[in-house]
Amino acid sequence: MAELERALAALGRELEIPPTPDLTGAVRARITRRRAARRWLVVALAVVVVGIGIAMAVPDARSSILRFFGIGSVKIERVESLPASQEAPLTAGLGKAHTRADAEAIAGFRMVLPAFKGAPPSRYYAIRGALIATVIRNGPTPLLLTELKGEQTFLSKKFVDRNTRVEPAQVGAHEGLFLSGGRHVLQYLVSNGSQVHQLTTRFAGNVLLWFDGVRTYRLEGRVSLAEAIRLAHLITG
Amino acid sequence: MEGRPLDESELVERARRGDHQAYGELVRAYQAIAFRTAFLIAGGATEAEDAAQDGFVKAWRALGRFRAGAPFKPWLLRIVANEAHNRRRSAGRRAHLAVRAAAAEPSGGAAPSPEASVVDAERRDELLAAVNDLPDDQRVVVALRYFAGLSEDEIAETLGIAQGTVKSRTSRALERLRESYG
Repeated sequence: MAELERALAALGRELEIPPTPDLTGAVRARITRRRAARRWLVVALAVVVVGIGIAMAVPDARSSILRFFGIGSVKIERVESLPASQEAPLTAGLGKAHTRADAEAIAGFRMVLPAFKGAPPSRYYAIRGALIATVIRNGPTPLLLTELKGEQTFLSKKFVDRNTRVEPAQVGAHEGLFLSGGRHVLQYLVSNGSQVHQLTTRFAGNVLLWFDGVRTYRLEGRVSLAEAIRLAHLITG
Repeated sequence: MEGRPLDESELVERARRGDHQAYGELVRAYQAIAFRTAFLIAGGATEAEDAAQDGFVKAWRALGRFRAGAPFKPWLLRIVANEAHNRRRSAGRRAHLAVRAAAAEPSGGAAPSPEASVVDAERRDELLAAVNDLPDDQRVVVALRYFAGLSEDEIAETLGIAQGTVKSRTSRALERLRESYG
């Protein structure tokens, strides 16, 4: 090899090339979702179209969307800059609290809950025909458990830097994703026919998402991946 | 055959039949070269990650058209390279390579001497500047050959050009670099 070619090879070893991100989780989530639920795919495409419209309507997110992917009714977007957001309680944007029976009547479906050693939660939140949520406790740690039905609702996660990890998670037979680290933003966006309503925008903690083919489950709070999966097993097996 | 790792052709065949786990193994095996190739073409980490990820997803969808027995790597890299080219065009800027901060510092070791290290660093910086100034088609070929370690036929397949074109672009690029590098 000539000196120039040796110098080029040496230069290649000194280049500033970022470490390879682990793509297996994201790729697997995308291809699994495509094959596992053909019907959902059609719906998801429609959701993405709506999502683009919404994102373009958010000034901070305009022209900064780099990628989006999702699981179930949750859509994750990677952007260069976050939309304006604030620290807020876990239940911000979910409206007033209801009894479980009332919340299930509003949501239109029964909430799947783990067995509780003590008293079950007394406060539930719901969005008509789309979502039901409650705060459960893992020891002293509050966790927001949200269950989303079908395609009327999607949540949007936005994260700005590479410190936010997105990794695959397996909850029994169900595929999932775990988001941790970094700072990311949660938006509740509810589509009601042709109209889309943005309910709130707030910073979010670690999140485990999983989809059983019918319903999307979302567990948010100060929790590790292993602990989140353990809790998820208690909910959907 | 329990415990024997599957070879590439077996993984590809399983993936063609819809085996996600087999395809996950292929992603794990090729994500580093896919990301590096995308980075060298697109010039940005985010664009490279997106191009590599989308490339893997598109390759999965196109597995039915993959010719059985053909090497998987260049076929995959062609899809990733297309994605990276598209992103670079969208960004409307040239890829600009730089050396690592640690590498930019002269070596503190016993040999070579600090003076020699400074000279080496200067020559390396001149060479990198010359690479960055190459016409884009030549720069990409040089980057894939010397910075990604692809062979000529792999580069031809990745870029969708004839092997002779790879040779001529490499030759012209080296000629220009010699003028700068000496």
